Amino acid sequence: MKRTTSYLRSAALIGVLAASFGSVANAADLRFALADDPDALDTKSNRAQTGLTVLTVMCDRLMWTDSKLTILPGLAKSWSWSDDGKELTLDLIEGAKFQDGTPFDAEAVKINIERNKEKGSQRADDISTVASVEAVSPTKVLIKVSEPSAQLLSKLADRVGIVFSPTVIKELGDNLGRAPVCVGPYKFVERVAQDRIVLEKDANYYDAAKYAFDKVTFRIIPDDAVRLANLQSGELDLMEKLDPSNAATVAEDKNLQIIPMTVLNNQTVVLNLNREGPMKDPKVREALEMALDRQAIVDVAFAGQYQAGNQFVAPDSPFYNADFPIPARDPEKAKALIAEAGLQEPVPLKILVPNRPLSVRVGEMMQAMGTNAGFAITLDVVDFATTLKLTDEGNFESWGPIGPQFANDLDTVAYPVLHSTGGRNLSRYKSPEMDKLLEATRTATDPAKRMELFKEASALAVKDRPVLYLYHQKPLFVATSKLKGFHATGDGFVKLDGMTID
Amino acid sequence: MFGFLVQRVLAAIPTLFIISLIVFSLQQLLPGDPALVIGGGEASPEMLAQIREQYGFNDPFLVQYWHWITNVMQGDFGVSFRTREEIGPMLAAKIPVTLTLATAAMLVSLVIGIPAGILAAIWRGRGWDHAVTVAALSGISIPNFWLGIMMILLFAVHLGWLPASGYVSFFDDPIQSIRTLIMPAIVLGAGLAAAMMRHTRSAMLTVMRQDYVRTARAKGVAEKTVILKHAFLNAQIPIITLATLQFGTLLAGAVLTEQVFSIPGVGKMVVDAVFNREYQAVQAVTLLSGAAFVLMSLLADVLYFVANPKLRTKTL
Amino acid sequence: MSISVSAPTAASDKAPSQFAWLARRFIRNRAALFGLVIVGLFVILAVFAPLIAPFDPIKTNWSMIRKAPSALHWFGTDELGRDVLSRVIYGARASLMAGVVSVLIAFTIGVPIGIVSGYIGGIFDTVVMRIIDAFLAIPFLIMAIALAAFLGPSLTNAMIAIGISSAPIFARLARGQTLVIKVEEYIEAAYSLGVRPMTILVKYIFVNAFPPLLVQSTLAIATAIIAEAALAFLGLGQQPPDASWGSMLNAGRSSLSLAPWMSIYPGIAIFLTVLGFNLLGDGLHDALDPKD
Repeated sequence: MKRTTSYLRSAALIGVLAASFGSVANAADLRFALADDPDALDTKSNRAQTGLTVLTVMCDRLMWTDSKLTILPGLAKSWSWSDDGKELTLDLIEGAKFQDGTPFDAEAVKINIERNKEKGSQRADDISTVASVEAVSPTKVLIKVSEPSAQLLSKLADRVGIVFSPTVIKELGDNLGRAPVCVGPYKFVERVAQDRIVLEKDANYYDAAKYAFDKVTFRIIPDDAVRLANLQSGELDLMEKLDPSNAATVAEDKNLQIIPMTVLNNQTVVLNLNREGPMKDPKVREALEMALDRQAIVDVAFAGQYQAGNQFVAPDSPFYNADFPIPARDPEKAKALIAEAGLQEPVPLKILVPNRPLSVRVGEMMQAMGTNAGFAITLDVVDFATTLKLTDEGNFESWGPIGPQFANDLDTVAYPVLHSTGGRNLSRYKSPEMDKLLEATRTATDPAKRMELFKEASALAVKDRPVLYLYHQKPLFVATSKLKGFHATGDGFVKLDGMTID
Repeated sequence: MFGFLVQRVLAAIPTLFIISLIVFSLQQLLPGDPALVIGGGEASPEMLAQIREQYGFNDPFLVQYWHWITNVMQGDFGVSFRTREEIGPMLAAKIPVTLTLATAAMLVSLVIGIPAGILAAIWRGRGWDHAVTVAALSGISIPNFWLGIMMILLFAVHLGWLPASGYVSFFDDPIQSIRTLIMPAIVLGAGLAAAMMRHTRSAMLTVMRQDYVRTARAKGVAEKTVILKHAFLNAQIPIITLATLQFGTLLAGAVLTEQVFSIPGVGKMVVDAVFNREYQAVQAVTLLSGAAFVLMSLLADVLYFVANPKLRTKTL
Repeated sequence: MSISVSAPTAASDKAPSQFAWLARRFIRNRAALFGLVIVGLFVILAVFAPLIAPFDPIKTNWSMIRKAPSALHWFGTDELGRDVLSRVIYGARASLMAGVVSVLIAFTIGVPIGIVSGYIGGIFDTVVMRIIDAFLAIPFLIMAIALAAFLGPSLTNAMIAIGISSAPIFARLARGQTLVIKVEEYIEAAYSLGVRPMTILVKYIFVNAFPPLLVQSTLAIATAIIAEAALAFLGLGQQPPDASWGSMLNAGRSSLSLAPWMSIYPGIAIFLTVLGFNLLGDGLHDALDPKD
């Protein structure tokens, strides 16, 4: 017995010793944990959100957006449209240098925009209206568009607005993402795939004084619990994507702070209208909506941290159409609608669910909700690559929760999903009326008019239900309570100017 | 000795060739259209056709295999679709990580398995023997990823003694490196420690029945000397063989351990690659681990040969 | 795990007495008996799950999410308010089925290949064994993951993937046994009596190779149960809302600090079942091993 105690004591002692050897963070460094391994650090091939998280810390953009989606100056200090809305002139800042020393000028901007238009570029659709780019002078760029474009500025405030060094573009070509060089506060040092990306401060950056950290290390930790555990034990300063169900625990921790981010996004169930089956009938789609309790999904799956919704924008957005509030769950009405459609209960429905714990949780809830509202829902949990194949072939009944993760313009969350030619229109929804409305938003340069058009499109989507909007994510960041000055771009990416750790 | 080696190496070549064929067929097996993954959700049909052309997805199987194997021979494993990084250097950066983990796990298993096995053999049929046998079976029966989760829960979340995950190179920060390695090494080594213990026990039992051990005992040699000098020296041959062969198994076991502890090694790379449909990365890892296994078997043969004096004198 | 062969018996009339002898040897082995009891208990849980489980395993209760173990919910509730105990009980079905079915698949593919290859011998045998060696060189789990990903995530596909990946071991073992058995005198005798090769393969070689194959099967079930759990843990196994122990571990992972019971109990269930099969396999091995 006595011996056991002494063993325990020495074990505890070893533990204490081990703990005291914990690495001491250099106050001038930032350790930021990401949930996914970023894809290519190159705007031309970037598709995933995490890639842009890293690029946003590294690079300036031609323009920025704020949380109200107002366009702010960046590498372009000002701009002006021609009267016919077909020519955009950008005035660039002077004296800036790329991280490799190459001077930043209009020619570099031209090279980059043209590169983003090339075949195979993921950005080609973003700037499909751009007809030509001219470097009028070293600080003046003239962009000509084929038709007035309401969303072009938003695109220049998104990935297209990141400008890479022409020297490096020439050197690395499509492999630019291996060692990107742009104009921005932090330069690329190294990347160990699935482990970390290291950046260091660029002393030549024109606004370097605003940045406190000498070094930024992104750690890639996909496991939600492990990421949080590392932050709690002091191995990290900041992390993204807190599992909302942990929010309550974190809120009690005096050493940590939760920072919710408001981003334009939505999560939906996509209904395949092109497939023979019950979902072709608008009444059945309405019945499905009646079966769902969106607030319950938000409360149970996301601990109330996200926001329920029924349109492509959240209910508190100025673009939300208040004439169509979130309908309450009504299982009886759902059953009545199924009977009206001449179908037998339960109506079978197969939902493709992305293979992520939180998505599966939502899927399981929808399944349970369907059970006493006239539906027999089965879930088909598949990984991302298989989903791409199935949805591309149109070989699915419904798919969700899925939707655009971030955007700095309404066009991004509406047009690709709802327009008959949209790249993400996987429900194969074809409505001439909707097409007309969405096309009109693209050329409407008057913001008030544009807002009206989006509200009309929202009303139409609510009526036709090609997708059922479920909720809006509010990505949760967690930081040590010593971190001050956290702020983000309008599309939800962290910027480090003014951020410090005491 | 030399002839024996040559013979073994020659025999390994067809095996390696067949492994490469199997590994390459995996590409055909993986679902999903790689062109769709590369092109992303928004790719137009023309763009997909261009991607298929560019990557040679339209070529017949054997042509694709030929391109691949000739590139691999030159050390070119292709480029990741997703990050545009070269797979060869990526893999090269991950191999030391997994090797470090596997070596640490091997150490854990030797330090626990061999003494426990020897003691169990000495006290055969007594309490200690039963205890060790039960412990060993438990070690084999525990799913190592679950053991990992439980250790994270206890030592990282509750007690806060050890970091929950990650990997730090020994050369960057030795102390932190060891701290991060403790849990994964135990998790990965537990099963092997159990196997090692069982093997040591049975090897020792076999040896202790042999005449020369009995003779030594009869001559009045001290029991400790009998056990360590006579019995263990001879029992180590099968143990060495097992340890070498099991090194390959460790590499495979690392798949889940690395997943649980977010260790950026080869195992994590292959799982991520399977889910991202990174065919070339899957092929590279599978081929390499197959080759490593063949190499280890070869090494086991050689060690067996070297460690076994009787065999050596016979052939020399 | 290689097994030394027991003295082969050709005459089937000796079987009952030999069986009784084996049964006695087996029962005297307390550890093996313990294994049998564990396995038996889990089989009972799986078969009578609807009668034993206190709750419907897929019934959600959103006012009871992540509740700690209590008198009502002995193992607590999960992230959708389902009863963890009931899910563990029902999960026994998926895990046991995965273990048994995948080993049956491996056995059915591997054993005929091994016996035929060993029986024919010569170049054919050399080529087949090279291929088997190559398969064995590819890590089992990597192979299973790739196959399961190819087939798509489901319990059935996980079983197929595990079955195919473990087939080479059975081929290797069956072939080794065949090589030993085929030079026995009674085989020669059967030959000279004009017994057809097919009959020799099945009635003499397979029957005599069966005991070590049975031991291997028992141990392989243990491995297969862990493999299924591993695949489900990676999201490649049983699909929601049905439970398997691996998928429960996968779901529990994100609530590790919030609801550790979601991870603890399914893990213990896997551990006990696998331990049971390992004890059973060891016991069978000892009972069949003439050395002691």
